[in-house]
Amino acid sequence: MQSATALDSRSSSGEHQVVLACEDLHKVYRMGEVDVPALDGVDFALYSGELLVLLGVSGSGKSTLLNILGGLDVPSSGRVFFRSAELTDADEDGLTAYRRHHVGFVFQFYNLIPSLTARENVALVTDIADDPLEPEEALDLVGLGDRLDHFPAQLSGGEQQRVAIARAIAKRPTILLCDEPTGALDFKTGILVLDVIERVNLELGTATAVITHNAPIAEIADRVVTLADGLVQSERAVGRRRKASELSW
Amino acid sequence: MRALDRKLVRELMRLKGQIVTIALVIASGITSFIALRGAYASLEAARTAYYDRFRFAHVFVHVERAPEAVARRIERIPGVELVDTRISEEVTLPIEGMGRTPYGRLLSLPRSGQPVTNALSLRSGRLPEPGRDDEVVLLEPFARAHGLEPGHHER
Repeated sequence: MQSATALDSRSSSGEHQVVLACEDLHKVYRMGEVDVPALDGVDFALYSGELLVLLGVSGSGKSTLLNILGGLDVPSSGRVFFRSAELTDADEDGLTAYRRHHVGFVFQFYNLIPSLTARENVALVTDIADDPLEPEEALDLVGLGDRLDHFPAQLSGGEQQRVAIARAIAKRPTILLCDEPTGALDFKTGILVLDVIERVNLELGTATAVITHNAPIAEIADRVVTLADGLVQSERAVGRRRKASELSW
Repeated sequence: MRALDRKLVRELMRLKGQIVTIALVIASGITSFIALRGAYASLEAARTAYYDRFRFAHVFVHVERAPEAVARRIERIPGVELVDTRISEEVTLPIEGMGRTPYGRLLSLPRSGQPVTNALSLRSGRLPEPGRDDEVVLLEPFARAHGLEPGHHER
């Protein structure tokens, strides 16, 4: 990365600009004497405003790729760019600034603070973000405007995941990275969560990457990238995005 | 209040039983420490005061058949402030009524008054009168163990 300042500058460029890209990305985990390759030369791009689904079976390298793109992990080799800034050059502070200002994360498990209400869980982010949404506004966007003062234990799994999404989008991130967001949910609740992700993508224009091993979810995407054995196996544009509510599996 | 501060307050409230217990354990530990330190300092001060009051000697040396003039030579050694000499001898003490004759140590006293160093703390009775060769001062535990009182006469 060139500098934290470069990361902090928000682009006003138009649609279909590359916001996140990587070139020849390799990641090897060393397990004692054995090297386990997780990524084996991935080239990838995420465009502004698009909803991308990263499809792949367990162990294909999806989560590793997402962690590197989100600045949570570093590659063994290769380059990662956020707009024109190179993340692979960034130090810890640079990566922290990148994550803080530009990336929203949603994980399979919600990671909510049990002792804080839904509103306060979102406020954890809005307290430190520049120009955030109000917590109430973010929760309203995910359909939880009437559950502001409920604690996680008083919410269903789907509602907790929607709080996690509200928390991720409250800082108006440039990129939303979702790692198996429906993995711990039943079908009906999963559809509700995908509907929220879809709405955030359309209404806020947040470039969104959703990781899943569940192939039907790819139907809600603009573009689908399939990973296998640490490599991009295929990439296709979806002609017409389907609504989450139309999906079934 | 920021959300993180709320989290801290709520979690402290939730753990208040444990926090109070930990605080009590720490407080009792600190109290014990202060009390023991105080007792130690007090004992040390009492010991120092006692040694000062009775001019307790810093160094003891036993020599055989040394003339009194040796004391004058020792006084001239740099750092020596005061020298006092005594005759010390281990003897048998034939006390009437005791089945087995005990051993004891006799220490000489000045002809009159208290010694220059290692002054005596008299618990009862008086110091031997000047010129008397039939009076002794006994250590309190010895006297108590054998039921000896001031004025006791032993043949």
